[in-house]
Amino acid sequence: MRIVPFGISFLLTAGLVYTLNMQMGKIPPLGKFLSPQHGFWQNAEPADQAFDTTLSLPGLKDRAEVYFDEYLIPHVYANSQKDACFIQGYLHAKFRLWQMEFQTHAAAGRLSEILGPGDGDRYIKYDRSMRRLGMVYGAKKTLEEIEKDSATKRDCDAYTAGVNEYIKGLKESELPLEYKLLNYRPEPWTNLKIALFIKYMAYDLAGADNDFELTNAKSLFSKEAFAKLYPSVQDSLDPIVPKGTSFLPAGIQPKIPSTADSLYFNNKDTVTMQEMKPEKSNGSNNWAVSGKKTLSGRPILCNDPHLSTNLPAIWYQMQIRTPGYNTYGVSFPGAPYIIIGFNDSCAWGITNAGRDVRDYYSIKFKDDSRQVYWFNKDWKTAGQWIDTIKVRGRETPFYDTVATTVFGPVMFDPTFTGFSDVPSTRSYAVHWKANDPSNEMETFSRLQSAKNYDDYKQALEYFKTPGQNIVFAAKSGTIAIWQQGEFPAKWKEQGSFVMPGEDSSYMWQGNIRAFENPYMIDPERGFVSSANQAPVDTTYPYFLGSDFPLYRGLAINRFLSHMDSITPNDMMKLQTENYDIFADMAKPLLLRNIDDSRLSAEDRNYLNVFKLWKCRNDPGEEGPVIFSRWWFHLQQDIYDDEFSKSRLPLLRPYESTLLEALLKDTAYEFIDNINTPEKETLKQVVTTAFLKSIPELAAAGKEDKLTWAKYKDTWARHLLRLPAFSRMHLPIGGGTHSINAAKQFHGPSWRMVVQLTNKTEAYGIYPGGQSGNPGSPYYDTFIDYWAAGKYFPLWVMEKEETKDKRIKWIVHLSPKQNSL
Amino acid sequence: MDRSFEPQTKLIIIIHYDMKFLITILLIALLSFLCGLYLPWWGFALAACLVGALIPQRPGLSFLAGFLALFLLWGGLACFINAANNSILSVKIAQILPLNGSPVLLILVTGFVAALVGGGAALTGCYLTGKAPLRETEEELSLPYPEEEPVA
Repeated sequence: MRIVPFGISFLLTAGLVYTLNMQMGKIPPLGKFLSPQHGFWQNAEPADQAFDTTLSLPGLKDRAEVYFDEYLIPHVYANSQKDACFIQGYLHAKFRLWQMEFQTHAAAGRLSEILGPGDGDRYIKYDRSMRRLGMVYGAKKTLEEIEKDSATKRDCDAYTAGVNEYIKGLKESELPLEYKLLNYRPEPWTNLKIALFIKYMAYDLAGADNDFELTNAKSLFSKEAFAKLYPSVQDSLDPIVPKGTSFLPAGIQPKIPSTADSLYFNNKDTVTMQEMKPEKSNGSNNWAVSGKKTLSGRPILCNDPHLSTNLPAIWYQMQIRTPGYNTYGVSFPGAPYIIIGFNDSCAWGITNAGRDVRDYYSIKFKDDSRQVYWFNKDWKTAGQWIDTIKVRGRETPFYDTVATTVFGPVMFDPTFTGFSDVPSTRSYAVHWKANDPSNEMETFSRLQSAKNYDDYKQALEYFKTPGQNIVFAAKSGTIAIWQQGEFPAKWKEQGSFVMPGEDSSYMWQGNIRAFENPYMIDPERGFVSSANQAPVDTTYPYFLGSDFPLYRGLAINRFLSHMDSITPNDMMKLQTENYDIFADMAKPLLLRNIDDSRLSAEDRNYLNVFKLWKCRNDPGEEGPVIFSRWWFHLQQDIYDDEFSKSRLPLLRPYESTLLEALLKDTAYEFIDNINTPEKETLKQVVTTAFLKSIPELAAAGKEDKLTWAKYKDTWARHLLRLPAFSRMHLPIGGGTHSINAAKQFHGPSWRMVVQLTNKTEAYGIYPGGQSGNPGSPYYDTFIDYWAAGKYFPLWVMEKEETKDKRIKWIVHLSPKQNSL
Repeated sequence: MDRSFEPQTKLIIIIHYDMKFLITILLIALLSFLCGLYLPWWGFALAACLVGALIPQRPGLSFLAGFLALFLLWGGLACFINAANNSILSVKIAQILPLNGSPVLLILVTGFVAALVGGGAALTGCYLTGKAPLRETEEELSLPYPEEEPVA
């Protein structure tokens, strides 16, 4: 033995191994990561991968079969609902495990545990926001409800067992790619994670409000100005339930507190805290047309929920057949059942109700320990919980002490100002409807096997948050829509601003009875529809809040009322319609007010393109780019002078507000720039805004980004926002106000058209693929077709079709006896 | 000592010598592959070390054998996997690492990382059992490639 050289080479080699086994910043342990037998190469799925296998799994009651078609869509044949849920859990885990766990970690405020503190501790802030909002607390309550019901408990238990059965058999080399990249391992799945997933959706869809921004605006602007900036009535509203519908008198009449004028409406306090907000434009379209408007004489139901266009996609497509039901549609990896889909009798789809169910209360604590607060003329002891937030790369976890009040947890206090850097001495408790007990899983369990309107109606009863517009159509011919959810009955403007938390008179006083929710069955006009607009006009006896997009609903109803002999193909065209009704209403106003004498020859070229534009946001159009820049500068010009006076969080008026104001009143008071002595006119600001957009348009032209799709730049973006795992620059049109609501990172997450003929004729597509593995050919199967507005027929496989050539692989499952 | 051989003998020695080198490479690669099935990613270092210890060679050649064995094994496996995958994943990983999105570079890097460890491990093994340079060994090893003219 040669001691010295041995020692040196041993140390060097060992050192190298040690280094390659270590995470360095964002770089995974390179040795492990690059190893063709352990690392990412193992995730490079052969293009001709066969998925056939025979599995013997404990937890299954009976034999079952899964037939995978050419798109890797599973057609599950199980002998019971319980087995179906078990298999669904197993399949979700097999194809989407990382995403399921990541999303539920996010919901539980555990991102820092995986991703570290983030720039400026933003992941810690995210985690604190989620936990303080009560996501875990709410999920635990939901779990209790799920487990109180024997059917949903049985199904969730089976689902969880299925996920865990997959995790148990997972070798290190088979870990999903993201685990290898971030260097961590999955933990066992639990029923609580299912509940957390439901809360994740509740946060996404019912976690928005503008309470702080409007509170600040109320203190900054006069009453009259405020009413013009945030009007409660939208002139062009076409509500879900048409104007003129009569409603039942209110079953509960909330009492306005006697101190409302002095302590609430005229309160001039401001808020510096900055909330974390879900994607603002989470919305959707759905509609059902009755047989009298279709060529087949049978109803057609359509739905396209607009969510973040993530990869792996939020949806997983499947068919589930048991002796009790035969259901096709999309499911959420992370939860059992089909969420949007159809069975042999009926179809259903959902859009977001968008009602304000999150309110803040200003809390007066006795001192900085926040253990005692002033409530109903007395000092009351606050509850308290301590969150332990593990932070990757840090030795000690972050401990967050959260006080709780009669209203709910204290979301913001001097130790947590959200995403704002401004220190504050105030405390605000949050009351969020999603923290009340409910069992939304029951709704989907029942919809799967719903046979008629009554079953649908009964299924809906369990659905409380996030409030949804659930559309329904049956083969029998019935079409219906209900705005379903448990909504607090509020007095007018209750919770639009931060409320005083010093007495009980500002609390929610009760819930609107479910049968008072807006609905329609088999209306004379032959269709029902929703697109997140206000559900009713002002004759509805309850206060609804005011953040509702107008235009998609308006366009859908206009198109549908003029259509007849409708075919599924017509419905696909409507779902992918790029017509922009907002632009169509704004265009004449802009053209009326452009001052031609201020334009150069080049400016006029752009103006001509705009003039000739048919208000369709097609991918190759330049018109939408010109319009979008022009409108942006117009609203900046009009509101900047007022809004830039303050650095408080504020909300700019909605696009619809500005357009409706200008259409009514060319002397809209905000047109005048308060920083100049002269009084600006609409003509001046419209022309100035146009001229300001010219250099931007010229620059966009040089970069070849003057056409709409290139300018808008839609992505299907990986959850970790890694460009390499995303599909970028998709050639798709549409936009915020088009029915085809494809924006940059957000859009129609599942387009579905179902014609309820004897043999159901259904089509669908989502921007993703069945496999969540970036190394699989099935990772992005549908994306290009989705962007092009194409659909795939949804094949409801029949028992006698097991030999059909569309079936590529078969998985045979059988129960494994524990005793051998 | 007479160091001149007949050309035929010389050839046999070269073949014998190269065979030994080749067998070392193959043995390291094979054992490394097996280790990869049952041990963590660094398992091959044990294999390379073991083979380096059991087959005595000049240290430089030992290192080279370990290096080449692992370069070929990891590079080869990566190449094979990549071909079956139509480079779907390698293009993406080569953007993250960042290697300009080039699968070839990624395969080379994969091979090189393992090769460094493999070489080092084989060398370590070689020193573990190797004796201090003896004349005999020196002689045997340098036979086919006399570095200097024998002194008469």
